[in-house]
Amino acid sequence: MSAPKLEAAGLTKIYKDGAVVAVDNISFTVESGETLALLGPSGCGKSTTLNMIVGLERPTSGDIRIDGRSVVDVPAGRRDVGLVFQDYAVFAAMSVRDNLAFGLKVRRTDKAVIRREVDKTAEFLSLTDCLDVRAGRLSGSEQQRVAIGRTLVTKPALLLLDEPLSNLEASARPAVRQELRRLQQELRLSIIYVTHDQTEALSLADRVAIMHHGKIIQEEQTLQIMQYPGHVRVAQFLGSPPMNILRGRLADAGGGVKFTHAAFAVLFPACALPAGIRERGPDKQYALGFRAEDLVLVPPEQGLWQGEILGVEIRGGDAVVNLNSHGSPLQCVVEHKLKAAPCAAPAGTRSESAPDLRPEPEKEGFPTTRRTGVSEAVPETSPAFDVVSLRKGAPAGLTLAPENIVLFDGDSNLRLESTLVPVPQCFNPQPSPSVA
Amino acid sequence: MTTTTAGAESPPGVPVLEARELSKRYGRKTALDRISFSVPPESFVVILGPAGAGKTTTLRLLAGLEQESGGEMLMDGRSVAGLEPKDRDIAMIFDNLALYPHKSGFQNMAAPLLERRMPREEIRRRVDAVAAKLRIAHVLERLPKTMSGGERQRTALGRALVRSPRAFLLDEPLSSLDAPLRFELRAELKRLQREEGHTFLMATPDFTEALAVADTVLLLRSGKIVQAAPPEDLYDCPADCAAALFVGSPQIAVLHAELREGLIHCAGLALPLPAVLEEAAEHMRGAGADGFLLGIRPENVRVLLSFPSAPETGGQTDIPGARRHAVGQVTDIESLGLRSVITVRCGREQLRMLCSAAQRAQIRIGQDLAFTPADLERLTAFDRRTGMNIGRRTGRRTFSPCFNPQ
Repeated sequence: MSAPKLEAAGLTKIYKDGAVVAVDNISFTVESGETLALLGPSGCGKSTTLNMIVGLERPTSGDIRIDGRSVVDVPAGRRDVGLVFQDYAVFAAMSVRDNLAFGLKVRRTDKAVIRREVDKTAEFLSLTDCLDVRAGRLSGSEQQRVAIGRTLVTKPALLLLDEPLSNLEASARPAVRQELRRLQQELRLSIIYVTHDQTEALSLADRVAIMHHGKIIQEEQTLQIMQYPGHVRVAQFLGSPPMNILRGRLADAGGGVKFTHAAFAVLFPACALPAGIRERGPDKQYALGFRAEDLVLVPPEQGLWQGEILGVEIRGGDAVVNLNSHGSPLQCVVEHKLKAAPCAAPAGTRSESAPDLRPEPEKEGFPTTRRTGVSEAVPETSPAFDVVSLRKGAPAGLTLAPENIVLFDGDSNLRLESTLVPVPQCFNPQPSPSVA
Repeated sequence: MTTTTAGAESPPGVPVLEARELSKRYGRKTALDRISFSVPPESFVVILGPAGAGKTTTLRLLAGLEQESGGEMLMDGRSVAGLEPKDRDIAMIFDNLALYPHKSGFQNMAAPLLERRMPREEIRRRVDAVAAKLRIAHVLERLPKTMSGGERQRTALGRALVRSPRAFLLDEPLSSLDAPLRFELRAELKRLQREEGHTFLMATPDFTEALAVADTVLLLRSGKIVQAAPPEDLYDCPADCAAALFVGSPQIAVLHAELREGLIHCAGLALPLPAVLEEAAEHMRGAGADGFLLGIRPENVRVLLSFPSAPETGGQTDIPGARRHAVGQVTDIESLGLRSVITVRCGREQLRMLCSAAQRAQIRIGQDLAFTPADLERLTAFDRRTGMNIGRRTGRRTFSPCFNPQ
């Protein structure tokens, strides 16, 4: 039996006689064997949505279909939907075995079948060694596995996970995420995963639906959503740090595109406005989105525009530089740089005994684009900086490759399909006339 | 605004807080085992450690809330022995920052100053200044229930920060907040500390928080200080294997390695000995061992989508026998948004590496994948028996002028 397909159509939940619209006319589909994440801050309506699917709450309007059949009138116990709560809700005084068997016992399943299914589930979740331990004595991540196992053992068609990792300590989460991915791979269940944690959504879901004030503001393939946020709010919600946003006007100017912010202007060289945007006229407002990983720090005089360093947050292998650019906060990711040790070869030369496998550094010192080709083994990173030398108050130049800019309509905040078009520059050393 | 410190300024070079051989025992259990550290003026020192390491105990001893079992504590060079908590000129900020629900933002923030019978105008001036710094001037006349979560937390922080004690002790002040708010407030804390010249000692179990704000991190484990270092050194030169595993996400891979004929053999690789591990090689020669643990961080492993037929040496002749790439089987792919973490199994070893979204789209679970360490100078070596870092631990990082990447 293949996993079912779930459809929600025009789902709405209104509380308090119309005073509170918790879920506002949302529609989505979970294909067979697919994991959909409902991602959003607390209070965005994602748990209410889940409760309606389980049958704990009745939608004010709209329909929920499992494999094409409406289940709105089917009671919770008969929907064949398994729900795992964030607080595990394991029976602490019962053994792990009794916890796992619980769902089957209440269904009056045959004892031999219970035993077989419990053993199988325990083995799958690596709980075999603690089957006879009281659940309350297990660690948080083990209890979470028991909670998942208790649901899996009843073989639900659809698995709903409500913030399953939020009560675990941070250090236990990567391992449980890995465990859940294995479970997805091997069981191919249809899953709805509700979370406010983007790492969980991005690392576990095939598709992500981002909720805000009861609405789905974007639904997208997980691998796409980071690069193509459909709305300024999505751009500012996803990513750590999230996308930088600058608002202003755009116009073609001198072989490039001039961006005019309230407080400053930037000329992006060697690119042009796409026709669709030029036709909108010069007075339209735009929001420029660009990833902190794509903003490049350079000496002040080499920047397309300037900013002041407010502080540096070291993350490990890289660091986030907080900047103030004419009153706008911006963030930039720089890589750590290890200085050559005194006994090592001086920078720029390669020691004979230890040739370096890294790609040749950019000759000009500061690469301006890092959207590298697919076949290339170089991750997209910022130039290396000795982060301890980036001091607060220091002026910084900023550059940004036009192809790394995502354009949003400044009024609707929706992403525009077109973006700045790079114009190939001639190899002619003399200043060339505008190709655009 | 300039800092108005209530206590006397310490002479230059004298730490605001200092612990010497500080110990605390509860019955037969040792919570703190002869720890020594100092907190210089206007610095942000973070005590990092897992639950139960002794972080809160350290702060409570310094605040005078508990009696030490041994050792000494000094403030501005003078012993605090016998001083009551209120006489120590220290403010302590806890995780649960509760507000008085019936008092306005202003009244909440002014409360500690009113208790000290400060003149009204001075209170107004201080509360307004701190509220402006924390961007909560607009909630001063409002009750807590009408504020957002972030505004409440800022008001509570502001209440602690209106005073100007010699030192602030912060016990996981942000741990109850949602991630976005936590990131925002920790940047504010850092900014406020630096702009006002406050002296902060903060406890946290979260290494990302420690790395982001600290001037110096004290890594505490089972009541002992394992390492005291600037954040970048803690990450690049961890004192031991457990410290390397504790700091950094995705986690560092620790592989069984052997040093033979000048080459590091591990996970199918044979790597030339980098300068940074020459001391480790000395150490092993001295101990008569050739096996050790090699630490390699995920960002230091590159995915090779096509298996290189010729050895990749950048056009130079490599030393004989060197193998700079190896192949493993992909066991897990975790997307982190722009980048993904690929876990690869090589025999009994497991490695993690970061790759771009474009690369990730071409990688499947179960396939064979070639990889190569990017920078051998970033490898770490640990003693197989003790777990101690046997590579060079200091002096790797030097200061350079700003904007001079080459």
